[in-house]
Amino acid sequence: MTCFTAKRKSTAYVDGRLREQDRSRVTRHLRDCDPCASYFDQIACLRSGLQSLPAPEAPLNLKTQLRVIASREQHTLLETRGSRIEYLWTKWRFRINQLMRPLTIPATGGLLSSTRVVAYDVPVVYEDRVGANLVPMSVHSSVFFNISLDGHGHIQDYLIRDAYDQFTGEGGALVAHDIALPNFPSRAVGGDISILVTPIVYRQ
Amino acid sequence: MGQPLTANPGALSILAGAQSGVSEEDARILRGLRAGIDEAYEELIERYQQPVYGMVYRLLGNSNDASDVAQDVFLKIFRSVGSFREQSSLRTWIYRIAVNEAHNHRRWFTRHCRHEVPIESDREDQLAASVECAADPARSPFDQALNSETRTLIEQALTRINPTFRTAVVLRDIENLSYEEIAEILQLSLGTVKSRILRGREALRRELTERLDPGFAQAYT
Repeated sequence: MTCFTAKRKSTAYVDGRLREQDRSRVTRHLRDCDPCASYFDQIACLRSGLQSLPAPEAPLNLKTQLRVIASREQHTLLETRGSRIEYLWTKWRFRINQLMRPLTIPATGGLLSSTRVVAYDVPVVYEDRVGANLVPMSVHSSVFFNISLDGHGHIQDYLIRDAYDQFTGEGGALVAHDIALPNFPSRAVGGDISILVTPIVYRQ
Repeated sequence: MGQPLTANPGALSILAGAQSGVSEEDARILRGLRAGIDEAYEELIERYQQPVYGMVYRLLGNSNDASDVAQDVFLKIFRSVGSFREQSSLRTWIYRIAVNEAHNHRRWFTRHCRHEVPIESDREDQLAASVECAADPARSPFDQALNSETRTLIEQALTRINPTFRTAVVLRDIENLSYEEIAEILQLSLGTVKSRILRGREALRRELTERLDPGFAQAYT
């Protein structure tokens, strides 16, 4: 056996993949040829060196990222029930929606602004009375409240004004007008308090 | 996601029966993935996250790239599990995807980023970390230093050889796959696989001899 042939067989020899006959021929050659024996030693050492390399540790966040990917793919799979056509349709529908978004949002906004909104729910937050926080009122524009208090925090009289009308009343008439206002703490000073209520549009 | 698949067979009772080419266990995971069962996703990640990352890291030599490619690999697995024909084992199929993705990534990187200069030496940090991890307290400081140095040199040499040969050597000598499995993963004949391993080892040996000469052989003993 020549050195060239022996080296060609080094991979199979080191990996134990040579047939018995070939193996013994290579072994005989290695006994007689020091350079080849040294070469085979180096290859064997290299192989054991490679096998002893520590496995690189995956980053800690990789598993979390893979779980997120898995969850998303699982959701898509269940949503489309494994149908490839359904999956592709969902994907394209999403893309079309994304493409249309710059057009549809201004269009919808313009359409809404051309209609007149007539009523809003105006939340009034009580300081000490839970459960009556939402008082429906018909509000067409910003509403200005002017409340006069006595020295004990009780409402004596009030003025309510919006862009269209205004009316006044005494403290006892608040309930009759379906108006809920905070109970001011007794330590509150007397005098006038002004509250401005601005309608807020809630998106459905 | 919940318990490992094996710990909760009831959840996957619909997955009984194995297909040709894949083991019973792999078949259960595959059917679980196709049915969208939590445990199957979890077990696949548990089993293959580390091997896939490790192999891709050895092929690319960069932890950030390896992490990105590992995510791409799993995304591809989840999306194409329905079209997997089960003619090879699950591991072989996953490794094939990983090798292809790593190859694509390297090709993309070569095209787009070859002129960029890295700010930090990620590779060196990783090597330093792996050297520290590899320290064996039972050996003498001299042996440990020699061992660590040798490993570092091997890792560095691995990054310098031709990627085609590196892939074959990594699959054979680090991942311990058989010639037949490597042939399936790389879609090559057995003869070509043997040739690539031979040339890869030879290239590595030459790289190391240049670094360690004249005492390459002694460094391992």
